[in-house]
Amino acid sequence: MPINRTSTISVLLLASVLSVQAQNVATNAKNTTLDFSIPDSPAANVLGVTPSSITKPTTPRSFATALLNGFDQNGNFQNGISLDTAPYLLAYGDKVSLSSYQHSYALRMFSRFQTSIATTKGTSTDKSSKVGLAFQVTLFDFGDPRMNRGFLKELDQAAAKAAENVANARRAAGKPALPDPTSANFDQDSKDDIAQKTAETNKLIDPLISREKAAAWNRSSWIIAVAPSWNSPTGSTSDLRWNGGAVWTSISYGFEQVPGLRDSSQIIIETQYHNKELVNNTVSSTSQMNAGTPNSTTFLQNSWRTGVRAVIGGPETNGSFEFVYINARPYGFKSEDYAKLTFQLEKKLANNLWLTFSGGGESGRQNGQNKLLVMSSFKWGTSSH
Amino acid sequence: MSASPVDRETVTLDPSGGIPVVEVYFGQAQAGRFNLYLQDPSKQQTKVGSAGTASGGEIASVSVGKKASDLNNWWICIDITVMAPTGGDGQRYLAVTSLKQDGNSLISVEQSDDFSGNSESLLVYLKCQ
Repeated sequence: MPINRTSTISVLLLASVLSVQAQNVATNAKNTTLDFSIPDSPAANVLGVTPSSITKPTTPRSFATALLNGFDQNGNFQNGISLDTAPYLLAYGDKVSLSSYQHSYALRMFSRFQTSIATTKGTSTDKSSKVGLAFQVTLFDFGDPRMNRGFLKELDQAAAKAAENVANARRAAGKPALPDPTSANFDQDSKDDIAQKTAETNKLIDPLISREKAAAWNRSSWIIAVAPSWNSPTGSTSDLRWNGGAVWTSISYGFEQVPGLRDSSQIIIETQYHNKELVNNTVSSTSQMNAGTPNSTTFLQNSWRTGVRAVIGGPETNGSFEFVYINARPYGFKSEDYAKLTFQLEKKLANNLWLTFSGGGESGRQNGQNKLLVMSSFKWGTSSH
Repeated sequence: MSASPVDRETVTLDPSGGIPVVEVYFGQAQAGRFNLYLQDPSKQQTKVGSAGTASGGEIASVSVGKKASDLNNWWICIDITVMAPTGGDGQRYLAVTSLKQDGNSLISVEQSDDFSGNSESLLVYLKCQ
């Protein structure tokens, strides 16, 4: 999406100011919004700083990176990076044809299998660093463009038209349809021909691919993921220690059969279990500690989270509301059940660059620990060749 | 395996064998199609048959449509387009072009690279003798 320089700078400055303010306001806030969706990077999900929907999450890419930023569950602002790969396609992609991909469910499962690693480091007073490793399987994805035969037929027709257009242009210029391999200037002619055909093909198929992505942004899909993680309180790699693991499943429904909603709405249901997670204790008062709250600087806990998220909008601008129910069981202390309600607004500024604004709060926490969250941030990601 | 989008090779046909067939396999689960042209010794090019496409099956194939004995010093020109249905960002492609006669592969040309856009054009030329 083209944007002019002035508005880009203005938005960046505004967002930076909002972000700094939000960090100050939400020193102890917990992030839920970035942490609750079918995750872009599963490894970032387990660390609590998911880069969210920069690209369609179940589209396998050979190698992709994303910058992470957001509050972890302890309310500390985190920066980091995630690296995602589709290892089967990387290793065996040459042996996978479009036809075999379409006809074999097992092959699609392997091709969409995603591994990711993410690392984050706290800013300001939080010196800790975290590492997450994740494995994700996509059980189905109704937005997979490789499975849309109508779309593939359109691509084929566009490529045929592009080849014919270039061939006709060559004939009109007194040249053969394809470069003559016996010609003295074959090297230059073939180079020009390929450049013209590639440009002509891209001119015709780029809008089709953009349209397909736009139509697929909210299609139904289902993933299962497992992710171990490690934490270093000092930020040193030598102090990295086990920080538990998480397993979760997310299923989204895109209202494919419902006119009016199929292009604008999505419901996501997720449940996650996280065990032996190292949590910073933010409670300091004696009365709170005496009431059964852990009184060390850190403690371990297991937790269940189950929630639903409703997304309304489109592929470039959308808003969402989510409700999450959490059952947290600190080791040796009283368990608690509470809820989080959050909202998020996302605006795509350019390819792989999003501006997000989110807020929300908790209800039902013990000892008045209910938190509020207000935050703006950028999400940036790319894929690498 | 070559990252070059253009490849010229020489292939020896069995003059008493059957009509050669061009096959193109597209890997990385990408979409693709190809057109076939024959160039005679007087440099006249003729389009042969209908296009082969990746959607048509595991391997796209088009018959050259001319007896091997009539192809001496002719060029088989294969004009290939490979496309990334998911968008080319972070995607690779592989196109393997083979010339077969009576079921036997006479030559195989592999071209692969990363996508620089959503599509790539490739050319393969096979000089028959």
